[in-house]
Amino acid sequence: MTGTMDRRDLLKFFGSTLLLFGGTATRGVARAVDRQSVLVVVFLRGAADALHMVVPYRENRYRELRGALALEEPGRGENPTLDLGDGFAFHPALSPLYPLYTSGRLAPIVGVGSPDPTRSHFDAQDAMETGTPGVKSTRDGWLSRAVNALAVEGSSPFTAVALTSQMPRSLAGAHDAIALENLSRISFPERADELMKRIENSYRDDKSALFADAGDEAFHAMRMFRDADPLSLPTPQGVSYPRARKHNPLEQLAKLIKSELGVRVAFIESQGWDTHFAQGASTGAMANLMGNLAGSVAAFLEDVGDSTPVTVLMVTEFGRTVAPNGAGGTDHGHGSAMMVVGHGVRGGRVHGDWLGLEARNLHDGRDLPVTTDFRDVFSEVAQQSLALDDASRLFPGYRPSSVAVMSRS
Amino acid sequence: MRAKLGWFVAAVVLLAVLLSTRTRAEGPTELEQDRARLLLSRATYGARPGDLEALVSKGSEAWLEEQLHPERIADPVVEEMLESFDDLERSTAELMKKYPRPSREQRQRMQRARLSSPARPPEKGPHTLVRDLSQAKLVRAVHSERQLKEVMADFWFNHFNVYARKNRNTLLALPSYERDAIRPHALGSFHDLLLATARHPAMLFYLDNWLNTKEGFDPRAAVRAQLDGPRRQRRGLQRDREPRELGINENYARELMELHTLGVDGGYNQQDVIEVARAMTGWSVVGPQATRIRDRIASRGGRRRVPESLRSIPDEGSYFFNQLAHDDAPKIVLGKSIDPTSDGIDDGLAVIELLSRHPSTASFISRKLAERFVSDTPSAPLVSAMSETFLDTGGDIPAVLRTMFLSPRFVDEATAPDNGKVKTPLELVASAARATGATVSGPGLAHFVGELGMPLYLCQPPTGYEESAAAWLSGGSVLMRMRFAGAFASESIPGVQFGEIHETAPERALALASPDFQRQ
Repeated sequence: MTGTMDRRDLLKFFGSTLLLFGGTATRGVARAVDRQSVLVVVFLRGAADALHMVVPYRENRYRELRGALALEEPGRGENPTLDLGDGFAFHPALSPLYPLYTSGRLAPIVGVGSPDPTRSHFDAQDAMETGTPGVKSTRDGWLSRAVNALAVEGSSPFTAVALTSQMPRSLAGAHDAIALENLSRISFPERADELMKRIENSYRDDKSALFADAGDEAFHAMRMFRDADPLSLPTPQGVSYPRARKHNPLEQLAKLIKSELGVRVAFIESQGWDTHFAQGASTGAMANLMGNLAGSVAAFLEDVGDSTPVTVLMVTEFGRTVAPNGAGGTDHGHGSAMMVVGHGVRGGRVHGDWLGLEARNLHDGRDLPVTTDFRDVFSEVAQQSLALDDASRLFPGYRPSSVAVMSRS
Repeated sequence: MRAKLGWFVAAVVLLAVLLSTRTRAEGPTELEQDRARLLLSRATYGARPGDLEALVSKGSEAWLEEQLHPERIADPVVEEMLESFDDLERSTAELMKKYPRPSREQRQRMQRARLSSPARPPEKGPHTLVRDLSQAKLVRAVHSERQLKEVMADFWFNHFNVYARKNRNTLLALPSYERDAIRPHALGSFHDLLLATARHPAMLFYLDNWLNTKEGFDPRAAVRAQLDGPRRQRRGLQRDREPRELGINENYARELMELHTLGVDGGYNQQDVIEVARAMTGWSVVGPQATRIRDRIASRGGRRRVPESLRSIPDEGSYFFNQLAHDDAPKIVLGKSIDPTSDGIDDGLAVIELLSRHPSTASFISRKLAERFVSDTPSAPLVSAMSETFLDTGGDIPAVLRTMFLSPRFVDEATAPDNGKVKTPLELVASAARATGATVSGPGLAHFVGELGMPLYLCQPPTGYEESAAAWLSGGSVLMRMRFAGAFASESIPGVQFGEIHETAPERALALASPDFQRQ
């Protein structure tokens, strides 16, 4: 029977999937999944320059300190910044997100960061993804603790999805977590069914519950994916994603969500924010990155539409120096900014405590200080976007304070 | 027709080999048969055709003794296969010269390229080191005759894990770390292994001990004071942007006790972490500035009186003990006072000595070894027998392994129902290659280990990869393992050459994807 498959068939079948699952097997997966809320975390790796995103244009020292990187006030110049009120403005490249701000669905939070003063990308990302700054041996990620805090009953193998080539640290240790870099690589030709059936039987008949459960979950996920066939969903008319990358992970995520596969938590990463050189002012390297990010997130929210309540949290490991370096870029700093947009967000105003740019208020005399612990933001966004009953275990050894960036609704 | 029958017979033979750990032997030598099979599945990267017969005829004890003395085993195939990996033979200083930090302009160009196509960052520089290390690991795992040494080298690297992408320096120090700190001691003394890792630049970078100094230490001010103020050096040093004062960094001290020696419940407290950190102050790495100063001094000849401590600075990237950064005040670690001595390095050496022979360490290491080789839940008597050997022999690793493998509990506990260990991705792909007699020469197999969730040399946390079955077996991993089985069976993994192939690809895929082949 399996003899009807030759090497090329097998190659097509096995060589084409790009799935990475992690975590432990759980029993009993529900067949029908409600349209429940989804939390999407977008990690801007490399430390995004917050002062270039949420611009404090009215600060006395802004122009003096930023030098060539300084941007115009709202309404002035060729490429004007976009007024957020209270002396802040969006970089012009973030314009796709501006309507979401003015309609009250997007909230920037300034002065967010980690109490850990490290300026190492690795250490800071690690601290932020485990959610335990100062404790490096934490095995699981903060987002996995959020996933595990969801009601386990009736969860789907697609409950937590990372559109990355490897399982991110944020989702390490999650039940039902998948990492897949590119949805389009998944295909299961029917000619392999016979062989798959025999493999499935070998797991089902195994006397170890661990193997039987893992096999059950694997084949269930495969069938769910085949039945839902997310790739066949067209991107709606009028929704347009930036084409900086061949496969926009947010576009794929929208298809996954709309296929009702039970996605609750998603993780996406964006690289290249470590702008030590030629960062550019209103246009240039960082403007391109921001334009791609803002365009993708805006298109994603429009694509998913009202069918599913979605909240997107954009985070980065630390901020950058207030002053540019000698190469038109910025070096590793401390406090940064984050943005949250979508369902349940109290947007339309800039959140967070802003201490200004006076030297005495800067961290080490050069960087933005951290006035809001990232765990306060993560905890509130996760708890309210996912309607968690108990968020107390998301950040071991820490009691998050409210940042009032989400509305209880 | 005849060919078809031949394939079928070959497939059955292959399945029998693959499933051999599942079949029960008969007759008086049952225990010996079981032990032989288990040794092959646990103490090696999997049985090759013929290995079991060879081991049985040699006898388990003799085989184990041979494996515990890898220097007595010839390994010409691996030596030849690894000849082309030049970088793995280079010192850290040589690698730093070969892969200099890119100039500002080069970095600028790289950033521009990255921004214009963010999906595919251009890879330049020493990134090939991880590829080479991973490939060498696979070559050794699949082809080495010194199997137990290779298994133990991997075990200890994972125990003293270092993440290759922590930063550039960590990466450049990594070939030396594995070659000079881990491998020579993999079947040696635990104390020597611990000390070798403690003073290796890769570890000093990874867990930040190179930044661990007495409170308020300013490296530049210290050097200035040493130089007794010659004006030229002063000018060079003062160009730096800001004064930087360092202090105690607890990172290494904490992981040293929690992960490397005592274990999290090993009986230390936060004060011990601080005291150990203070004892380890000054264990550091030579930076580019120090070598520059040294070379400048050397080029000027002996006109000025320069302290020996500056003259004798080793090459960039080498370990050195920085007396100036050392905290000389008395310390008490785990209730024992460490005497302040004339040479501050003795503090750290005393701590390593104390920790390496501590009963908590003996039991922590013994348990971890038993979890790797016997069962996810080894019995207390087995662990304490090993632990006793550890203490009696002052941490002799082969002695502890002997106690474990030759204990009747090894066979009992390893074969207990539902106590089976699951292969890690590394063990899975290596054992597939060994079971089928494949030759590994390209990076394809190592790449698959990463896709299966275990990118080699890229485990971020200092804990290393987990060992338990539950960590490696889930719905997702079953799908990935099926994918591997299919790709391997259809000979579509680059750099893997098969010998004579008899059975059909689907039959082979079925065998490699089966639950039994996932078991260690």
